Amino acid sequence: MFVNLLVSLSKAIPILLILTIWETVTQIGLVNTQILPTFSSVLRAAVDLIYSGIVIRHLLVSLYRAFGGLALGILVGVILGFGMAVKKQVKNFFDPIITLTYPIPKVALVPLTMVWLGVTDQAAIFVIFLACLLPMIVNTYHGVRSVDQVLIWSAMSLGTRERGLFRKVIFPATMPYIFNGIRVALPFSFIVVISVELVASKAGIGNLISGYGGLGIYDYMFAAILIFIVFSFAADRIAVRLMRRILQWYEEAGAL
Amino acid sequence: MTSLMKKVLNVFTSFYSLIVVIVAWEIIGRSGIVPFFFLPPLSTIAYTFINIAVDLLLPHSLLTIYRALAGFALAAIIGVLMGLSMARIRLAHWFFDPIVALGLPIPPLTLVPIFILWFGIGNEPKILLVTFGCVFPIAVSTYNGARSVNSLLIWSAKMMGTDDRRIMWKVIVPAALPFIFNGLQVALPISLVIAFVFEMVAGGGGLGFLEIYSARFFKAPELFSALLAIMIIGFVLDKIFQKVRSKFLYWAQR
Repeated sequence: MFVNLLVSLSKAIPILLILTIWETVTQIGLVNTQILPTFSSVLRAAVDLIYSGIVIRHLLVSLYRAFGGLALGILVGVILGFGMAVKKQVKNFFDPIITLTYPIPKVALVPLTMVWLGVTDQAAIFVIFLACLLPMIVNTYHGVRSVDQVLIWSAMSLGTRERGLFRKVIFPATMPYIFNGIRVALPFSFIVVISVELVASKAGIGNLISGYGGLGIYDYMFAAILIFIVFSFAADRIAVRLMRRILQWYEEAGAL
Repeated sequence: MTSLMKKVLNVFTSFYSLIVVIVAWEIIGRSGIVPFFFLPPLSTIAYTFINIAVDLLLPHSLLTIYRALAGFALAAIIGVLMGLSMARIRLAHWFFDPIVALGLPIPPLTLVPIFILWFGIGNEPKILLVTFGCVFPIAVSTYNGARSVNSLLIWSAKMMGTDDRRIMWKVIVPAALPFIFNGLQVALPISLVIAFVFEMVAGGGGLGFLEIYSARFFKAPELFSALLAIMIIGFVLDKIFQKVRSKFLYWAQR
């Protein structure tokens, strides 16, 4: 117990060292606080942002966009992935389109959606949807394709019909792959939402960050960025925890 | 059916959907169902693309490529050195491991306002943010590669009297090279995206700037041309990377 504590403490030392250096050089005036605010003032600003509810309000806007796009991307991606894996005609149709659109950075579509949908939630959700779509399709497709044939044969020999086969065998066996896709798509949704909001938006955490930056209130800008980083870090951890719980039966769940 | 007809049919089914999309695009664009700036016909976009290719697209593209690749190169050097030292030196591992663990999940684009504040709006902030975004994936895969070197190789080299430095450059680095290239392959598109988005947010030329500028003035053909250019650049850079990779890794089975 005590040794464990010591080990984790020694792991934190490099980070603490950097934070200490940050605090000292800004406190003694070696670095202008207009360029780098003191760490303590950033922390104070973060606490203020959280307590006053400002950051929560903007975070909710960003989350609505990110999760809206992510949910749509998961839904459509899983359906398309299944369709492509099961029906050859579907695969023939979508394969060339996917190959061609794969190398486009999805954030590059932000100006286009601004023209189409204006500076709205829908525009942001649409780009996030596109960004999340491809990893979902690819992972679902590979998941279905790599279902163990023996499982399908055994189920069929035990009298499972086509629908039951899908619900009881193929879908559960594809779950780990779908989750893997979600884990790729989740950070995409965060990256795209922040980029959209930095480029053009009326609310959201990216808007808050660029707003403070434009006004020159740098300790609050740093604080908002810090809060978002901590939040996206936590979201990934929570997602992994959830997936492990749902996939308890899956022997390689620990590797997720 | 003859085999030739079958072949033709096979080729056709493998890309007929593209023809469907292209024709539908052209018809919708020409019909006037949607406003011109929503979806200009493909032929107009192609015409514009060729028209502005030399004067406008090329210089902006070169600027974006320069920023992306300069940051990428810097990240490659720092990342590989970081990964190798983490794998071989305990002190380096102790120091860098938490930093990498904390830095890897940070979405680099959130730092755009900070980099503007520190380095202005010229080339430096873009190049340095690209470096920041690329260095962690490269460091992690280099570290994994250097850790997974077969110990037998190191022992044999040691037994034959190879000194530490030669073990590093003659055994560990070549053995880790496939992993290093994997990391570089992940980082390459990241470098383009960061350079592009930074240009969209902060301006200062480049394809991202050209695109957002065209969007503001509703110049749809130019906007689509910029999109097409970034698509081609991503595609070509990836192909070049594959070539370089197979040149370096001809001895390793993929």
